[in-house]
Amino acid sequence: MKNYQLYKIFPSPVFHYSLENKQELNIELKDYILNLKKKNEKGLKKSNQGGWHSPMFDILNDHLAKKFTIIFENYVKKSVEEIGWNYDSDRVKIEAMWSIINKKGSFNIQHNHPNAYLSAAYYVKFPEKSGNIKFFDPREQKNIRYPKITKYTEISAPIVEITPKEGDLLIFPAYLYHAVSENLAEEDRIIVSFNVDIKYR
Amino acid sequence: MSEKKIYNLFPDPIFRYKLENYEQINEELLGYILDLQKKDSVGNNRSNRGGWHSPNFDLVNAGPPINFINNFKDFLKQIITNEFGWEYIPNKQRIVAMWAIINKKNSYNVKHNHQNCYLSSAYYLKKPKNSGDITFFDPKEVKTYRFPEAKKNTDYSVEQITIKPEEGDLLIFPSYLYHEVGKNLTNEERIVVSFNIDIGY
Repeated sequence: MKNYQLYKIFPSPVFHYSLENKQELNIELKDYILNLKKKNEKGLKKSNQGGWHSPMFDILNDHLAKKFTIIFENYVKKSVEEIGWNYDSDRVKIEAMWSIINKKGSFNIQHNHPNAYLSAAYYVKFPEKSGNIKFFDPREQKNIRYPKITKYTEISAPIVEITPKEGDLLIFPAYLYHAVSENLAEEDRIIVSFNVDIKYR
Repeated sequence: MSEKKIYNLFPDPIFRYKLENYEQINEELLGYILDLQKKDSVGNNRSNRGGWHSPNFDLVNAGPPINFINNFKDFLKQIITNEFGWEYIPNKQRIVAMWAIINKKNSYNVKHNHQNCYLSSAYYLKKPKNSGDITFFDPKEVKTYRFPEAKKNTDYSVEQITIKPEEGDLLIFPSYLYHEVGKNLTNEERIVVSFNIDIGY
């Protein structure tokens, strides 16, 4: 029995959903992504090291991209409400959506997503050891100087790693720096990422 | 329904511990503090507004401050070892300063934090109701500087949390956490003992 209370205040939330109908969605997404890749083999250069970063999905015009947006928006709504923000479907919008394919040896360097409130990663294809996502403590004061750590705890850990499954969706504050470990599997790792912005007035 | 999990990453910890035999400790400390006040009625000017901030306690010679420290040292060891997971080496965890603050009616403390230490504390020696509670502020400017409209306060959306301690309670928190103390609205005095802990190897 602990003879004291511990308040854990001001946490940064990472919402972890396991989607319904993920098999069907993943087939559609894979087709859509591989099609984009055929048209643009070079892709974009962002946090991806060795991996292919798709061009932005055409979420305003493309029928399929719009459909993906609508599916993900259900989970955005849940997360926004869980945080306690006002949810208004006209103001809470997925602003950008893209895919990243990490083949063997690829990874993503530490980055965050400016000019958005929430960001997300959806796992279309996630072979074992193809690269976990690591979140970094946003408090510089705590991380620049600290006593010697002998046991990483919820309170002292500067990095938290999450191992997702195919069909999982992570939604987190866009300010949270994150990185993706190297894909050590023979197969590709395919994710879809998106940003959510909220406009008031 | 789809499954959902929420990871609450990187919280700021606040420990609340009720001292054993606090009535006796309080009586001893009160005598010590009033003695200090007799010798130096002006005191120091720090975060205190209207209140009396004592000179630093004598932490070298035997006396009420040392008896007070001996009362909670096992608790301190426990949180350093188990909760933070920091290496514990006797004599390397040092209370670097200890002082008292007496807030009479209408006194308060402005927002501040404690530099060049790891942990800080407030011990409540005399705490009449409505004599001023302690409010902690979220250290993540990245979250509190720009944010969407909130509908309700949740653990994720709040930017400040007020704790209402009672006499004999000891709060321990990371020194980087900004905090303030509300105005004493009673006719009685509010007396706290504060101290800083540094860890060096």
